[in-house]
Amino acid sequence: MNTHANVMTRVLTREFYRANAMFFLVVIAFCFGFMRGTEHLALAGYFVSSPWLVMIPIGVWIIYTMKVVLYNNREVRQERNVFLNSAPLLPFYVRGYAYTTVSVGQLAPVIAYGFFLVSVATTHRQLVPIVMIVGSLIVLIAITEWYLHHALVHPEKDKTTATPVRWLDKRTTKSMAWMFIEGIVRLQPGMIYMTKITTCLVIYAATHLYLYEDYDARLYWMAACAAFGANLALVYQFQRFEVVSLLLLRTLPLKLLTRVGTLILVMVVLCFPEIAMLATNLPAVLSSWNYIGAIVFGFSLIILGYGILYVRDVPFESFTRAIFFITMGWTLAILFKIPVLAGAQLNIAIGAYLLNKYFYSFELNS
Amino acid sequence: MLRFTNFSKSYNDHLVIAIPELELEAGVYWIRGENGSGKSTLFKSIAGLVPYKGMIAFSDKTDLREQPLEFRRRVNFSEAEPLFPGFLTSKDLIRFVGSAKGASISQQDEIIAKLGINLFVDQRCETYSSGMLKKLSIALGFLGDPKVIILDEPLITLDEWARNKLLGMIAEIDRKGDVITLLSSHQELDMPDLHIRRKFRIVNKSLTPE
Repeated sequence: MNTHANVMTRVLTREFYRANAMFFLVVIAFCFGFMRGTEHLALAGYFVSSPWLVMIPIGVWIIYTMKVVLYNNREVRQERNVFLNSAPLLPFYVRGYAYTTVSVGQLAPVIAYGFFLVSVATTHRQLVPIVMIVGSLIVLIAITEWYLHHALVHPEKDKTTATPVRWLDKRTTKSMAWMFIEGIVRLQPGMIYMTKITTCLVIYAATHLYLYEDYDARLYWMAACAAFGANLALVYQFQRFEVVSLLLLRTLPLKLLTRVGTLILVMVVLCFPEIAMLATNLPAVLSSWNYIGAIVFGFSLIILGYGILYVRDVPFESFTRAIFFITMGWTLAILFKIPVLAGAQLNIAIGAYLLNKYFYSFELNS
Repeated sequence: MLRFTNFSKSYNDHLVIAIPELELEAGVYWIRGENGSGKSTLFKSIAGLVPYKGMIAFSDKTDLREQPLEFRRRVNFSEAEPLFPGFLTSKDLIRFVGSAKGASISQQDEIIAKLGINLFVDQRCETYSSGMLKKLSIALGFLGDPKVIILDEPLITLDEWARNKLLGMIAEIDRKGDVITLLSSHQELDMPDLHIRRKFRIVNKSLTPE
């Protein structure tokens, strides 16, 4: 019995956490970095104070469970995991134990927080929320198990396209920019959401630091620098799409200016939350020129990052190190009153030089 | 005419292929070699996908490195094992590549019809079989007004109907008299209309006429 559970745990549970390591890291940083113990207790007390409010964490657990179910559905259909299709042939108790082990393991964060809420509800003598929490945990585990079993029994599911999507595909032709946007969103949805949430929080926090004192424009520019610096991770995905996912793009007679123009267009769409946040949270004492300067500087960072990516093929980890040093360097420069527009010119000049020199000689390592 | 001068391609100091001097006139060329002999590397070099040493240029001095856009306009490449983003349809890709290569809509539609792509032109690539992907890749290789068409293993995964259609298309474009078609194939190219100008074999990292 243990062997099957062990194998399935290694294939599904451990890999689930490995695949979502970044997500959990951010959640842990947010929960334990920004909130103190008393605040956690106060929040839990608020959640369990009424059956309606307890629906908030349950709603979040449902979304998390959907994420788990989608992950399992995808994984069991991978060619490398075809051997798992024999699991439904195991005796009921054996496969039930294996499914439960996997589901409980994957839902462990939900179950742990559920027990925490139950303990808080017990001290507040809130019986209905306790029943709701325990009941929802059992239902979510059962749903995860059922879907896992269903995916293993029906691994042959066809790749189909939804009718509205087919209708749209028939009547439209995707532009180059749209191909990139859809490609990046499909490739790294988690990265996009996390980047957007983090950068918007940074911008919000930086623009609301001094509500009653004189605001220094440098703080605003530094926030823009950090926000667009973080978005260089998406520029990496843009380049991966160009050199890996749709290789023929590099064989096409497109001017470098067209390629950079596409990059800018794509990043305008993907960075819309940051562009909007910088506009709507522009401190009253700053003029719109400060906003324009921040945006121009942000996009100059993107052109610089794109140029650097073509110097040589580097793994994502190495590129994030480069992003860190570039962002820190420019943050310091802004702190020392280097004009952002001059910085933007320098970034664009370096980016254009690198693209011109290395774009056509770029080679993937593998 | 396509000219190679002191061409060589190495990966990490490991020489894959070298062509000291070679001139290719218009016509169909069949390049053979064992697996890993360097056929695909040679094709990717000509298509501008991998850097190399030496020079590859047309007779009017249009060089891949000096005039990358003009060179790319003239060279079309169809991969041995094509891969496209699953969310794109054949129509998306053909319209996109067609506009970049200067192919008219009527030419695009003609190629779509010739290869039987019209049966799945609005379907997304994620639903394609390997044969359908291959047909799409070949269609992209014929778009525009190419002077060099590179077809890496064009016959694999194609059914007999598509195979005959493709060989017919190669013969038809060859009759224009100004196109170099480079093919690699482990299968026999048995088509009466298809005139192979020259056969090459990659032996000991160099291109040897057969």
